[in-house]
Amino acid sequence: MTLNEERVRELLRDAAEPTEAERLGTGRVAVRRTVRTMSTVGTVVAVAGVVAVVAVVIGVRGSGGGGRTDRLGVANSASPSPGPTQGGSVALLVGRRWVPSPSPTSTPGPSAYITFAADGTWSGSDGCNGMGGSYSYSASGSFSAVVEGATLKYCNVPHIGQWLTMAKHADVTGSELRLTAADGHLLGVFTS
Amino acid sequence: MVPSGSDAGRGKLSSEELERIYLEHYAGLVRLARLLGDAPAAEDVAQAAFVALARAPELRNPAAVGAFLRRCVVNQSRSDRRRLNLLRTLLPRLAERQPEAAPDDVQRLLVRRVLADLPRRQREILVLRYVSDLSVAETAELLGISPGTVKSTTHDALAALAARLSAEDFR
Repeated sequence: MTLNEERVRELLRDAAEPTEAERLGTGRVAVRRTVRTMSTVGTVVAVAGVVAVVAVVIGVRGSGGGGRTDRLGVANSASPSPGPTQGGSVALLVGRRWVPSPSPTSTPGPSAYITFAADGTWSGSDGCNGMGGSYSYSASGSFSAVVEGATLKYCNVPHIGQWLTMAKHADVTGSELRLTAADGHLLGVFTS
Repeated sequence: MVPSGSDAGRGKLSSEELERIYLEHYAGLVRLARLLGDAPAAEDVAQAAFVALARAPELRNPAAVGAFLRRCVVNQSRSDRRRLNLLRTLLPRLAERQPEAAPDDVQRLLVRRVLADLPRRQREILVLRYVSDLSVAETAELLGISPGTVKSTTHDALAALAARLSAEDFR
């Protein structure tokens, strides 16, 4: 058989993804491990645990200020685990190309974006590195995401993947998506 | 935006810098570890690299961070694989026992096994170049070999990979 470099790249990259068994041992747990390791090295990471309750509170705050706010919701809010998600409001996130808006503290990379798929995965770029992973949200509007793959270039642009992993709440209002952290601070605003 | 709060050229990394580096590199290191070493332990290997980074007394320049982390993973994977190989020799049946693979994982596991059977240098070069996207020069530097060796080994490794995959009736 012949193997060109592109095919090898494709095969090896696929092989580098976790198997189902490995995923079962990772997924959401990986986020907790993140915290454990970072505290090992003396770092406070805001990616902490599962905070559905907190997210509800933030959700109330986030819905003020004008336009109608649609909750991202699924039928089962009990266990917001990453994976396929159904529900009417899912369509608000899925199939749109979300481009980060500049803010006083950050200027996104020129071609930064994220997209969400209906199967519970997201992908995007911070304008420098491509990345992807899985995400979940519950009827309460709480949101969580993990980065499961990213390229490794070193650039000084806002790290969209970091916004996603820190986000505990997502609000879609018209063409605007706002991601907020567990402590309620706004991580980033995207438009589509 | 994560501003580089302190001067990365001096002393230890700040927690902000470490956090940013972690988010940027973690996933790539896990993939590297999964293909080079003991796949189920890949996350632990990647995390150990960050612990080593946090303890490193000084980092000269940001570009060196990725290389440092990858080198940690490569080194740890080498010793993990030696341990795995020893296990295979001592307990062949136990070592090969796998939970039933999901359909999507069959190809993934086959490619991993074929890769694991390649000589170490071929395996490392293929993974660093095609999964970690390192250039010939970067791969040479990381492995401490010449760019010419990287090129010729890449060539051999591609041929070996193709031969082994077709021996496995792959596609």
